[in-house]
Amino acid sequence: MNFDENEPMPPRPVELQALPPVRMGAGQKAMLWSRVEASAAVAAAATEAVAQSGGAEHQMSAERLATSAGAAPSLVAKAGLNSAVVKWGLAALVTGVAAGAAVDRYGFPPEPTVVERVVVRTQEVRVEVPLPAPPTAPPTPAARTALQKSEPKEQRPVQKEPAVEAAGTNLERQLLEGARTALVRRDANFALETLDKLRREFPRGQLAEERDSLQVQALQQAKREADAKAAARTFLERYPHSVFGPAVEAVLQGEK
Amino acid sequence: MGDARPQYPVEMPAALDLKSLYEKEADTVFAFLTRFGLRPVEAEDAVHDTFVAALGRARSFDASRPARPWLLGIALRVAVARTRHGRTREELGEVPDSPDPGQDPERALVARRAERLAQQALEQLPEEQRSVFVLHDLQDLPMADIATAMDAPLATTYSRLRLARLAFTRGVEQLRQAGGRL
Repeated sequence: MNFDENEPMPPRPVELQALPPVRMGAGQKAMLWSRVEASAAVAAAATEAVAQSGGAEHQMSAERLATSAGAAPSLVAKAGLNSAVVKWGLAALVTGVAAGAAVDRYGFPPEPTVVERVVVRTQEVRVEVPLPAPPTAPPTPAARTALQKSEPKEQRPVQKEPAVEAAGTNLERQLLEGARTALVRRDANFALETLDKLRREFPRGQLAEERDSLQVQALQQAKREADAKAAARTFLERYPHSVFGPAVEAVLQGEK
Repeated sequence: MGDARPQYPVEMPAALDLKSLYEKEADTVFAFLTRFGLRPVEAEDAVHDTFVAALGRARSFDASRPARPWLLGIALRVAVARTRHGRTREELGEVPDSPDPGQDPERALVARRAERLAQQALEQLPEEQRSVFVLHDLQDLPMADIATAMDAPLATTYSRLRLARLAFTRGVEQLRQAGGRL
């Protein structure tokens, strides 16, 4: 060991004895586990969507999504409850793939990110997830909008459990919420990334209208004025009577 | 539990069982985060974030090695990210754990004061020194594991511990003098 011997190591300070051991209460520990479990389930649902659309090439920040879900358990509890069974083992795929996000957030040393498929554990976990929201707009055949930046990869057939499928609809809502909260905390890049993901995973999603309105706001927040306005015009043409119209028009107001 | 494991399609450390890891290590993670300087509610959030991040880092988990240093390495980064976002270090209010309630009140008060002082001195240390110090002197993690967790050379890690011990002792002394009347 090459520790400099000229500088002796002082002893462990006695004052540390004043610090008693810290432990969580049993109830606190159990509650916290249920939050962790719920977040793991959200990540798993996101993973499922990634797996459906081709896997590792997507840089999906499920960990961030899961973290925000965990920070706000009400998100899971809010909309009337339905049970879905997901495999949170799969969560490692998305979160592992999202190593890029982890680096940003916690300064982890970089790791190779090419993963074909990863399973941590396949024990089934039962979690509560909100019921799918009712459709707010008819499916739009021309949902691949001018906003779209990257072409989706071919869809890979995946054998799914019905419950996971239900979680898929739910995932659309959760991704949308993820994008919305990202906008609130002014993380426009993450919002755009999430919206991009949404378009790829759910090209004919039930929440396309809302998603496209968020896209306009996200572009504006990212200071991509021209893109924002172009997106706003496309939106107003496509959804002339949208309840999100005023918010989108506000973006165009800055045009004068 | 979970004995009948299916075939894994990967080179995955199949042994990462988040639940049993949580059961075994959540208290240690919580203790680390608390001593690092997060307030109880924040420490809870950070425990959550640590385990979620652990899931995301599952590929770096080596089942043949102790899980604690690996997990604390993650907790450390979560803690640093939180303090950097300025969401902690508000008033040094309540101290997480009060001493043995069986004690007589006077001694309890003295113990509580000493605890507060020590915690405060701890939180004055720079992040890196504080991390090594807490992990080694409070949580008894081997230096080599700490070096790995912090992605730093062993010599640097020792150097941080040395500086931390000196600064901590000095800090306690200063706080005693300054805050004697509080």
